[in-house]
Amino acid sequence: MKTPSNSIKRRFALKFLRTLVRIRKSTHQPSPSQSSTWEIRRRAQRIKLAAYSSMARTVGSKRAWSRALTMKLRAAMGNRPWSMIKQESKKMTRRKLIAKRKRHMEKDLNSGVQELRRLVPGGQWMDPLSLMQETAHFLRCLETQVRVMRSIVAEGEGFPC
Amino acid sequence: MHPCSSSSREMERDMDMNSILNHGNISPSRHQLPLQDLHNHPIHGRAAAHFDPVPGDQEFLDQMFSNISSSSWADLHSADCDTNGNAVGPFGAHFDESAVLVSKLRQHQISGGSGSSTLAKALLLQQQMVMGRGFDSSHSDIPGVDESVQALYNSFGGSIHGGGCGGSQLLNTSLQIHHRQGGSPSFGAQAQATNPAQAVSGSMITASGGGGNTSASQPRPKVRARRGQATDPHSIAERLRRERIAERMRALQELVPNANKTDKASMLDEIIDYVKFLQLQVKVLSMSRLGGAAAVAPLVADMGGGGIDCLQANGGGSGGDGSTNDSLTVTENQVAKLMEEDMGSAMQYLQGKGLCLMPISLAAAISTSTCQPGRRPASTGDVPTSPSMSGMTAQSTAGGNRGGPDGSSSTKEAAASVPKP
Repeated sequence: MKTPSNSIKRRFALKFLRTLVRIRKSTHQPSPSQSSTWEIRRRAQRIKLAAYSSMARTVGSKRAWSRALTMKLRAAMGNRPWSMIKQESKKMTRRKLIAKRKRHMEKDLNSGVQELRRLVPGGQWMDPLSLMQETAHFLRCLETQVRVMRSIVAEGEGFPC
Repeated sequence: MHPCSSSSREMERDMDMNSILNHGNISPSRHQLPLQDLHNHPIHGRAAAHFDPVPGDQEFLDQMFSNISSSSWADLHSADCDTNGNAVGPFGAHFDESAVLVSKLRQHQISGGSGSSTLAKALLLQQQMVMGRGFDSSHSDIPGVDESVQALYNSFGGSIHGGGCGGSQLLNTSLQIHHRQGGSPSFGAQAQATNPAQAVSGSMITASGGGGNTSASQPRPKVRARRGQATDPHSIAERLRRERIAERMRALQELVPNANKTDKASMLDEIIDYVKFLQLQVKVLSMSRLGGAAAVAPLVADMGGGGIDCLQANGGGSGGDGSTNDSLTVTENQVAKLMEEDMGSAMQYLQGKGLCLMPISLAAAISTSTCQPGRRPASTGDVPTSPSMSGMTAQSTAGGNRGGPDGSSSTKEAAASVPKP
């Protein structure tokens, strides 16, 4: 359960490619030759968000980090289903209180754990034990993501990437 | 009623257990090896096992057996083994217990934890398996079971010994005990006794003391403290928690490529760096994906419109051979721009194109040594390069190129003149 298998790679690749095609179609209408730096950056941002969102959707709701990531992405892109968000925020506030109390009590390896909480989505409200588990899974998914993206880029350009 | 233990059936049960464990267990695949070894071990004769039981280990045995008797024998007793030759039925209960124990054992193996706990779990598991097989073999060929049990113990001793604790001694002690007690009579007696577990445990205790009789001593009701560890529930919980954290850290450490574990704090820092590195890679890749790397040209301010158009078209389509002069200059300019903001992303970008930065002297040395106009420098990494390594490479080269923009551009020329494969 800690290791995403090949199926995740394939599913992620599929979703990501579809999203990419959609992005490309949406930005192909304005002439690409005059895209400014800002537009390029914005497009890069969208691609990055697409990568993360397809990753989160591939993993589904099985993992805490994917749920938290989905919430964050929805907030970034403008979200429609409000009910889910309200529920999640309620859960989060309760978890926050618990986590705060626990964090006061334990001082071991705190700085590293703090940093990890910042990096892993949804890590702020997890206890250190499950945080590490989530980090492991998140790490594997990130590696998958990078590998897939690199292979896509290599495909498009003919480099070994 | 089938005879319960032909050797093939033993193998089947091993298979069942393996499959159950495979389904229900989370640990990474390499920890399945001990059981695979079990399965693949041919059932051979007795291996020579000879050690002196360490007298201090008696406490471990005591505690372990008391644990066993208190918790699990009830289940075993309730499971009726000699009914219809349904091998899976009575064994289901055994398998659950042993599955749980084996997973615990693996966890402890993973954590490489305190030697005593590994010992205890190992012996627990052994006991389970012994009793499982003991029950089933209550009316069948005892020697066959005995040998299979020996095989199990052998492989277990081997695997646990590989774990690096002194548990193999105790394992082989128990092996020897079974040796001594011989085949059928003791087994038959134990299997049919009302409390065979305690009989065996009693015999093991006394045998470890040096005797060989099968007196059935009652195990002590309360848990005796292990050497050097308190029985305080708080500290036990603390210890458990720390073990779990250590085990997870180990699992994380396997993922990160640079895995020299010195201590927890530095390992955590490595992990954090690696996560940041991967996120940075995603960011850079999403930037370079805009119709190929050559199409990042629009970032460069001083390119002609026609050039941009043709490059865009090139990159958007197949764009395999971008080795025209235009794209090289574009690459250089792009790298210059990236270097201004972030060294890491510049390196990434170059790596994505199959290039790298190097000091001029090194490039000259390489080109002269190989006598080829452009030999590709062998320092491109693949996906999970350690962030510290790539950072250092960039820094060393950047340190070499501090001599103004001329130096840097000529270096890039040296690197960029490499023909792309």
